[in-house]
Amino acid sequence: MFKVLIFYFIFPLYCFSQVTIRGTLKTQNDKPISEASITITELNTDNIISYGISNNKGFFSITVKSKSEQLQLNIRSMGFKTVVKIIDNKTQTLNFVLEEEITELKEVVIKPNAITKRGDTLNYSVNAFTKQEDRTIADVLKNMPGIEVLDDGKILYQGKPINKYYIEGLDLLEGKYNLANSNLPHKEVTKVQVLENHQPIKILDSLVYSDQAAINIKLKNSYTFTGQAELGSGFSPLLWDANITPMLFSKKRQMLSSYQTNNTGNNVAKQLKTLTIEDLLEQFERNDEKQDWLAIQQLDVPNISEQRWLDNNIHLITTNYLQKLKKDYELRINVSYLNDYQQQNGFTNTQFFTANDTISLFENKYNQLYTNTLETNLTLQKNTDNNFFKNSLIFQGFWDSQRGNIQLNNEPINQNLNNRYFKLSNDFKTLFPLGKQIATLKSYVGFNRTPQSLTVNPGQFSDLLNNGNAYDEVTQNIELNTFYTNNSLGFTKGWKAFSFSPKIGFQFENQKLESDILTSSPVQNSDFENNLDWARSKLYFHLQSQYKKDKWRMELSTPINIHSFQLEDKPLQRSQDLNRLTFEPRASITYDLTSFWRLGSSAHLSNQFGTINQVYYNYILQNYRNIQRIDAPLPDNQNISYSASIGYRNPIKSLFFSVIYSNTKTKNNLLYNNQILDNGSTELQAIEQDNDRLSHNFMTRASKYFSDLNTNLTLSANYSLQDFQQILNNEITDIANQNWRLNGKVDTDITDWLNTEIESTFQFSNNQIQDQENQTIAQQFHEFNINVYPKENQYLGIKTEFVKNNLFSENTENLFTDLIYRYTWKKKNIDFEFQFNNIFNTENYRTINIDNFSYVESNFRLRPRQVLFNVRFSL
Amino acid sequence: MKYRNITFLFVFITFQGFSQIDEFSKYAFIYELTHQSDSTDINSKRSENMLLLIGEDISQFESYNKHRRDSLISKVKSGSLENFSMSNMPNFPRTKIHYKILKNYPKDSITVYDNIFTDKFEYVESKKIDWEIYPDTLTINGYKSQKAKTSYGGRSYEAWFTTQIPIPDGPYKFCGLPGLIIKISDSKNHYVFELTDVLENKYKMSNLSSHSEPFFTDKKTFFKKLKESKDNAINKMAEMGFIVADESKQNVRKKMKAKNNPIELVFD
Repeated sequence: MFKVLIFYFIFPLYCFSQVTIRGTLKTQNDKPISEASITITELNTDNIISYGISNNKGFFSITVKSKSEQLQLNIRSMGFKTVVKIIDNKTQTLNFVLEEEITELKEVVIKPNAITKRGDTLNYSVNAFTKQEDRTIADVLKNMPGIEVLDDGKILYQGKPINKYYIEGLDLLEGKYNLANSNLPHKEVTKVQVLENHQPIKILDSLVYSDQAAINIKLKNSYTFTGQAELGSGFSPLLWDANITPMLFSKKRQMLSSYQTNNTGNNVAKQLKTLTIEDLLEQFERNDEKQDWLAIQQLDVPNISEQRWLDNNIHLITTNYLQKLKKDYELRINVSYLNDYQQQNGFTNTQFFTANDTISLFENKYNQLYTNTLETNLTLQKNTDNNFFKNSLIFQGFWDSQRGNIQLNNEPINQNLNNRYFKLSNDFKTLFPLGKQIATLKSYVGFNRTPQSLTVNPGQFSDLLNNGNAYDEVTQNIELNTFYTNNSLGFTKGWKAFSFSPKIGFQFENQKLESDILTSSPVQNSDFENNLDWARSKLYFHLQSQYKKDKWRMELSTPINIHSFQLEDKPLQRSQDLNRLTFEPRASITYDLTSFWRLGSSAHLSNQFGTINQVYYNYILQNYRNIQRIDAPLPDNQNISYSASIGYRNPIKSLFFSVIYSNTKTKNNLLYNNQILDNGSTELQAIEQDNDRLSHNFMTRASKYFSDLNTNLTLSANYSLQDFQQILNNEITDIANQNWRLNGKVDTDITDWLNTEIESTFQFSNNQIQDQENQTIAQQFHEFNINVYPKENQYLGIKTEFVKNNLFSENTENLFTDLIYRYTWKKKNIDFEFQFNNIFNTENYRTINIDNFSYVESNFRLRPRQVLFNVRFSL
Repeated sequence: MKYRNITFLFVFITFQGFSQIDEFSKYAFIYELTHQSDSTDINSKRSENMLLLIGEDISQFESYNKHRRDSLISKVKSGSLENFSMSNMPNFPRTKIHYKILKNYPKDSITVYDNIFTDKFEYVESKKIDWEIYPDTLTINGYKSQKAKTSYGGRSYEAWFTTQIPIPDGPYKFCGLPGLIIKISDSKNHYVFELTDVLENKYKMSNLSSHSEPFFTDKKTFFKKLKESKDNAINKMAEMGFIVADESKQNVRKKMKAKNNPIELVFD
């Protein structure tokens, strides 16, 4: 018996066998409770030694291994009262019915973050994110989570570009913020604020959601002066390149200035253009950019990179200043002055084809272009929660001139052009609440003046201008004065998957053209004057509708326009009127057929009317071999265009291709008569005759990435056909132009530090006049680039371009090779760059241009072999 | 007869992921995710708010901003927001974390929706994670938590869960503990999820995020394509219309190389 007792006592102590606790959980309504937490803990502790989770039938099964005699079973589930039961440590089945109870979740208590957030504003402490080698605020921004700075200076937040860059709440440069960002030392900055969902127009703040963020730089001191500089020099002949950009920031005013100059072919004038998409559309409607009526005979510029042929000497100065005024007003002044002297050298070989004959012309040209431009912008802005107001007063002045010397079949001709232009305009925009919507009111008013003159000697067109007698000099004067205004009121309303934007407005334009031709001969012929008054107005109602749902996206634009044109030349007693109501709808549909295929289609009907340079009753000498008058009705054209596209994308196979076909038919009311005279000059007349112009365009492109080879291959093909009529030497001629273009590109990463690109293009052009096909021109472009990255702070690039043309006089081949090496001294953040351009010293470039009725072969002198050395640092 | 039944069953199994889900959450939690996108650079750490929604039979985990964006879009489509329309869509909140992880409770499956650039993918995997419970306890952010460890996707994780919130779920694909995971981090601290907020409101749960259908694939193929797209980033961008200058290509490559630390390093 004693043995049995011992056995009884010892047995449980040494028995660690696993036990299984299983059971079912149900609610008071006999429904199973799933996803409940069942834990086994040691008695009176919270330490879980085993656990299980009930399945969708409420069933659980837990295995436990424990020395204890008794265990604690805890059953918890959201929405039910917790059950705690002491059980024996043995295999058993236990079923429970849980009582319902609301589970209160406690508040989570967290420690504060390094980045603090208040509403929609994140504050990044600059100290926390600065690394030892950082110099500018752009360097520190790159370290901040959520912020990225791209190579061109664009700042992204959460992947989206910022819409405003403020310094102390003020916007000095608008789109040109990189000038400030990459030059402002970080030690001047205390905080970088990211304003999420920033709506720059405050009155729209809760109405038009913005997903873009803005950045606001908070400065340490109330006064900061800083900047950047770049100096470069080279030879063959003496070259220079300099850039100095100082800036000043304080709480109430800001300034950024820049002086840039070079003669290395770098056209820094491009930096003055910061146009948003909205501006481009409005500019197109205004039609008041500088237009030259007269010209010297141009050389066709090569279709290769500008830096290979641009012989310039440019100076650019810009100053931008912003001042904060009382009552939330801001005043901003931007002034830019550009002075450029360009030279062009080459010759042009022109052949005119008519139905019967071929006329040849050979001109040796030397052109000098002088640009002298001033632009000023004065903007007053108020941007508060209840009101948006912006008024910009802009002045542009171009005191440009050009000089051209030609040797025409060995006879000298000199041309002197004065192509000036002046514009003063005011652009006003305000947003205010109108019922539940926000309305937008815009008004633009502009005056411009185009005083231009062209003097040619010896005198031209002696038959027409001087009764057949040769004479010394002819001068064409033009003065065009324009007044233009455009005013509109509109708003946007959404309704389910639709959005509607109605707009109503009117445009008015008044122009006066005065021109005359003076010859050096004592007998003046006053028969060459224009005094044209032009008035154009348009009343428009525009409704834009959009529908986006599931796989469909449709857009319909339905503008109704009332046009009115009045032209009158009093002395010549000629006039014209045109009044028209037009409806110019545009529709487009996109449909995602499957996740691989997407289809699209669009149709557009539009009307186009002529402008003042398409109707004038008396002769204007446009250039030394072109004198023209257009004594015809105002051009009145209607366009119907269609397009269809198919897109295929398979990202699993890394294969993409697209096919686009488009077709435009233009109904013209005028046919132009090009009279080509024996001396090669042309006389243009317009005849009232309905004619159609048809153009087809077909384009396809395919690309595939081969991951095993780290290579990307792209192929594309393009075909276009244009079919139209023209009058050549008094005969109506059918003309067809065809163009084929084939292109292939291979881009390979051979290793981590070596990358190559090869691209080839084959182009064929063909011209058919009245069923007579002319010679096909073939052109080839091949490009081969090697990029080497030996170390992180070094870059070496070798670029080669090879161009081959089959011209009608001979075949030409051109080879260009450039070398560039860049070294960055990281500690002081100074870049050293060495460039060796046009290594093989290719001197000339030949191009071909096919006109409606001619071939023009142009030869252009290029920049010679040159060496350039550049240093870039901060002030 | 038996054979025919088996074939029928197989046909059912190969059907894709979920049928449509459209319900409101019962519980909603915010996690702060701090992650290091470049394994060699400690300064590449980024943080973002993530949203975990618990529903009747499923749970949904995704970026908080992504959820806001998707629900704004669906509200606009149904017309319940007066002043917005689809033309405002570019102005909705955005994020770089595009995945949406749906854990299905009756079945053992997780459905994942994720993007490579602008292409949407969907794949399904098992929910099962083997946890080892440790006796350590700690109070984290006000909740009494106990430690558990596991390995997943090539990383070792340490998780703290609380039975005070008896929901067997957690951030990302982590689930199956007898309580909500309050904090989970990998051994190198490259990925740290921490519960920071319990939300009061009910949130819409849905597996429809936009009109375009995702490409259905398997996990291995998805991660293979993800790696390929990083190697081919420059040409991908050219596809979308961004041409990168030669000198800048190295920077783009460097950036893509620096994104070498996805949460799942190994995927079978």
